[in-house]
Amino acid sequence: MFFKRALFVLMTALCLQAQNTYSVRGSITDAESGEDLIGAAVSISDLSQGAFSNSYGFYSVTLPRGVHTLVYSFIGYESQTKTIDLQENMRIDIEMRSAPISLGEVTVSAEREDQALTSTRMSVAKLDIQDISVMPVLFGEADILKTLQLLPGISTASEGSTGFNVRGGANDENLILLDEATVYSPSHLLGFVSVFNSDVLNDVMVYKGGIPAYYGGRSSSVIDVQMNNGNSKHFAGKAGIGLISSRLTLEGPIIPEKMSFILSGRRSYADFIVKSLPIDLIPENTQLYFYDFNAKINYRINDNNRIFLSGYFGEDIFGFRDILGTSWGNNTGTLRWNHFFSERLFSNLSLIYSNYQYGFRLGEDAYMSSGIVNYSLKEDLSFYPNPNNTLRIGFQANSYTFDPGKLITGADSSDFRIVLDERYASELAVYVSNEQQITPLFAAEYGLRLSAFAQTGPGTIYTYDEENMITDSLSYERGEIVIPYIHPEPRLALNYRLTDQISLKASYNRMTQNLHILSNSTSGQVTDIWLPSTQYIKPLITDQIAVGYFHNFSANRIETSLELYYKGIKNVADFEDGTNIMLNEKIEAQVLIGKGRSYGLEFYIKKQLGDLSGWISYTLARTEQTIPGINNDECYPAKYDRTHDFSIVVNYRFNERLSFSGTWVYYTGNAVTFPSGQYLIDDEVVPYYTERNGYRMPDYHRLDLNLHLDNRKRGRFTSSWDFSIYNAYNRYNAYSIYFRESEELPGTREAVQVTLFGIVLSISYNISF
Amino acid sequence: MKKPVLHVIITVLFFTACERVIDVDLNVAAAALVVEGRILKDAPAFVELHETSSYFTPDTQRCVCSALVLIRENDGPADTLEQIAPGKFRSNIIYGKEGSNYTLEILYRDQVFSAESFLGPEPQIYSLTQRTFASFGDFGDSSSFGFGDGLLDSLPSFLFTNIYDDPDTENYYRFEYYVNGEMRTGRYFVSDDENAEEDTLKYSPGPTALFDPGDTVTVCVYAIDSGVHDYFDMLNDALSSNSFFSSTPYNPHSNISNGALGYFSAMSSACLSTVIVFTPFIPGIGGQ
Repeated sequence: MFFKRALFVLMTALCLQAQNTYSVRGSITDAESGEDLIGAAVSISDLSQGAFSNSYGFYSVTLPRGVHTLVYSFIGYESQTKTIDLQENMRIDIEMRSAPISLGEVTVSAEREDQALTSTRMSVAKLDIQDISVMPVLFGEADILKTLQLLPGISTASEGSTGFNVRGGANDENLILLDEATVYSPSHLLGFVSVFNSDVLNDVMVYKGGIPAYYGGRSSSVIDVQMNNGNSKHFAGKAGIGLISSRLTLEGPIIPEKMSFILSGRRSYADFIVKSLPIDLIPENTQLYFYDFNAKINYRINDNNRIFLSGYFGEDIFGFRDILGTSWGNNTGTLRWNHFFSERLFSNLSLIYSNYQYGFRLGEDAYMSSGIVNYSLKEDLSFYPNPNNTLRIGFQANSYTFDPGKLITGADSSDFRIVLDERYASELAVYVSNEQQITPLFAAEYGLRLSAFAQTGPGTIYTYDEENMITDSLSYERGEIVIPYIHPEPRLALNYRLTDQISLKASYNRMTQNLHILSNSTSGQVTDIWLPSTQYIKPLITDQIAVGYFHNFSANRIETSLELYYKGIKNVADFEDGTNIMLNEKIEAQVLIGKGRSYGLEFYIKKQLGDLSGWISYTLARTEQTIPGINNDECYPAKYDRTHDFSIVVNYRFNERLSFSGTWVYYTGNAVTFPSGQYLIDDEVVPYYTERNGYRMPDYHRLDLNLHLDNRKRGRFTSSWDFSIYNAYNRYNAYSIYFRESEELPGTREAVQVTLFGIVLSISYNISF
Repeated sequence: MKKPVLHVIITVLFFTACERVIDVDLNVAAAALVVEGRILKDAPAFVELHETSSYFTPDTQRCVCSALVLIRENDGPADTLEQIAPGKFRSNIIYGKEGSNYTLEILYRDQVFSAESFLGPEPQIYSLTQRTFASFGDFGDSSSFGFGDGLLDSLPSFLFTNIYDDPDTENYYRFEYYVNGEMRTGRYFVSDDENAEEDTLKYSPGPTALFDPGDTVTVCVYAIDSGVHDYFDMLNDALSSNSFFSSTPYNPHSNISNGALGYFSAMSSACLSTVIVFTPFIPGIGGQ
C-alpha cells in the first residue's frame, strides 16, 4: 500500500514539473545496416543534460520550449548535430555512419567520451563486439564471456572456462540474459566456449554493482546481451572458419526499413577432425560436436509499435557408438512488443521461454537427465516526464519447473530407476526506478524492487530431522504455495561530478536469489542441477556497497577508475560432508547454510581511442564464508577467493589492415583443500584433512597473442584472417592437483599437476558481405 | 586415484593436456589417533591403533603402544585388551555374539575416545545372479566415473547379490568381493536397505566390479550398523577425492568420539561363491 501511494505521489510530482516542456524522441540506428545502436548518447549542448538510447535504440529527452542543439554520438561513429526549435513534441530518427578507421587519432568524437564520468552507473562495463572479435582467445573463438574475465572484479573460474565469478559471487550468481531470456548454462564443450556467437550480438552490458531495480533474480551480477535485429537495408552475411567451429550468419530486410531477419548457425567439428586423422583414435559412429542456432525477426508496424521474435537453440552432443552418450543444451525464445503510449511513455512487453536440459545415456536402455524450464512475462515502462528524470516501472512474472534428475534403466518399470519429483516455483517481482539529475553536478539512480518467490505444488514436501530422516510429509495441490519468500530490494547509485575530469560515485544494492545450482564444482558443470528456494535451501541475499573514484585524462582519451566494494552475503549454502549431488532425494536436508562476505579494490585504466588501445585491470580481493558444520564452524576462504587478479589488454593497429592484440593475465591460485597428513585403514592410504580450502593452487599466468589481417575489400565483400597463439610462452598452469601413489617409488605418495593447455595455435578466416 | 574425466576428454580432443609430478608444500598436522576396531561373530575383539603422519613421508615406525583399550559387552564388565604386537590389541574374553552391543574405550595421551557398535544377525545370501548388458561400455572404476583404458573393449557384467533383508528393521551391509581368492581393494562396497523390495535386497556394485568369464567370485556380506556404514561410504569419497562427482575433500566421519579417525565395527558375515559367465542380456526375455 505504501509502495502504491509513494508511486502515485512521485508520478504526480513528476508530471506537474512536466508542463511547458516538450519531448524529442526517436531511434538511433546504424546507417549501413539499420541495426539499433544501444547506449548512443544524446547531449543537449546548452544544458548539462543528456540521455542514452535504450536496448531498442530508442531515446527520449524532455526539454523546455525553445531552441536547442542536440549532439548524437556513439563510439566508432561520426557525431551528428541537430538544432531544433522545440514548440511541440518531436520525433527525430538518427542514422549514424561509422567513422572511417583512417581517422584514427584525429577526432573520432566517439561516444560521449566522458560517459564514465557523467553516468550514475558504476561497476558497469559495456563490451564492444568489435573489440572482442580481435582479442586473442583459445581456439580462435571470440568470446564475450572470456573477454569479461579480463575486467576488474570478474575472475575466471578455471582454465579456459567461460565460467566466472563476480566480486566473490559463485558462478550461479550471474544473471546471463540473451534478449531478456535467462541462459541457464552459457557454455559449450565443457565450458571452453560460450553459447554466444559474437557475429549476432549487438550489445553486452555487465553490471557488477549498483544494479538498477529493473534487474533481479541473481545475487552477484547481470550480463545483458542483445542480439542484432538483422540488416534492414540490404541482404548481408558473415561467415567464419575456425579451428574448432565454423559459422554462418545471414541477414536482410523482408520489407525494407520495416521488417528484417537474422539467422546464424555455428557448428564445431572436432569429430570430423578426429576422424580424418590417420590414427585410429576413436571408433566409428562417434559424435562429438556442439551447435548454436540464433534467429530473430523484427517488424516495425508503425512509428509507435514494433515487435521482435528471437530465439536461441544450442546443444552439445558427445557420443560413443550406441554405448554411451551425453548431450546438454539451452533453448530460449523471446517475443517482444515495443509500444509508445505517448512521446514520453515507452513500453516493452516480453514473453519469454527458456530451458536447459542435460541427458546422459548408457547403452540403449539406461539414461539419466535433469533440467529446468522457465516461462516469463515482463512489462517495463519508461517514462520521461522532464529533462531531469527517467522513470522505469515494471513487473516480471516467472514460472519454473525443475527436473532435479532421473535415472532409468531398462524398458519396463521393474528395472532399476530413480526418479526425483519435479519441483515447481512461481515468482513475481515489481519495481520502480528513477534516474534523476538532482543538480547539474549531482545525479542519482534510485529504486526499489520487491520480489516474491514461492515454491509451489503439486508435490510432496518432506520435513527432515537432524539425522536427515523424514519426519513428516505434506501433499500440495497444483499452484498451492509451499513456502513464500518476499524481499524488498533497495537500489541506489550516486554520482557527484567533482571537476570536468573527476567524478565520485557510490552505490548500494540488495539482490535476492531464489534459484540455486547444486554443485560441488567451482566452474559450473553440465551436470549442474537447478533447484528453487525451499524450506531448507534459503534465498541468497547479498548487500553490496561500493564507492568509486573516476578520473579521465588527456581530454577523456584515458579513463581510470578505482572502486572499493564490500558485500555481505546471507544464506550461503554448502553441503554436509559426503553429500552426493546426483539423484539425491534428500539433497535439501544435507544443505548447510551460513554467511559470507567479500571485499576488494578494483583498479582500471583504459585507453579507448587511437592506434594503441587497451586496458589494465587489477583486483585485490578477499571472499570468505562461515558455515556451521564446515571447517569446525570457522571462517574459511571460498574456493574462488582470489587475492590478486591482473589483466593487461593491448591492441595496436599498424595500418588500416593489420592489427595486433595481446593479453596477459596473472592471478592467485584458487583456494583448495589438500591433506596435511595421512593414515592407513585396511592398508589403504587415507588422506587426513585439517582445514577447508587452506591451501592454494599455484599462481596462474598466461600470454595470448593475436594478429588480425583484413584482406583488401572487393565491393561489399570483405575478409580477414586471425592468427592466434594461446599461452604463448607455454606455461604449465595447474588445472588441478591430485595425489597418488608414486609409480617410481611404490609405497610413497606424490602430487600430480594436470595442465590442460600448453601452447595452442589457431587460425580463423572470416568473411562478410 | 583417478584423474578427472574432463582431462581425459581434453586429451582426446586436443592432445595438449598433460600431467606431471610437482612438489607441493604440505603442512604436517598434529598427530591424531586412528582406530580400526573389529568384533566379528565368534571371533575375539581386535583393535589396531596408529597415528596420522606426514603426508609425503609417513612415519610407519611410530607405535601407539601406551594406550589402554577397554571393551565391554552390553552391561558386562570392561575387559582390558592385551597388546599382542605393537599397537595391536586383542581380547581374551570377549568374542562377538549376535544381538550384543559393544562399547569401546581408549585411553591415550590423557584423552578418552569411545565408540559403540551393535552386532546384528548373520546375513542370509539367497543367490548370486548375473546380468550382462548388450551394449554397454566398460566404465573402469566407477568411483571416478572416468573412462578407463578398456573403454569399448568389453561388456560389463552386473553381479547381483540377493540377500534377505528384515523389512521391520533398518539394516546396513558391507560387501567384499574376492576374485579367484584375491580381495578387490581400494573401494568399500556398502549399502543400506532403502532399495530393498519386501524382504529381499538386490545389491550390485554397479557396472564397475569387473569380472572376466571364468572368474570364481566369492561375495562376503557383513551386517554392520549405521555408523559403520556411513563411515565406509565416506571413506570411498576420501579414497577417490579427485573424481568427477566427488565433493570437497573431507575426513570420513568416524563413529568414535573425540576426533579420533577410523571405525569400530561389530559385525556378522556370510559368504557365497559363483563362476562368472557372460550371457548377454536380451531385453524382453529377462536377463537373470
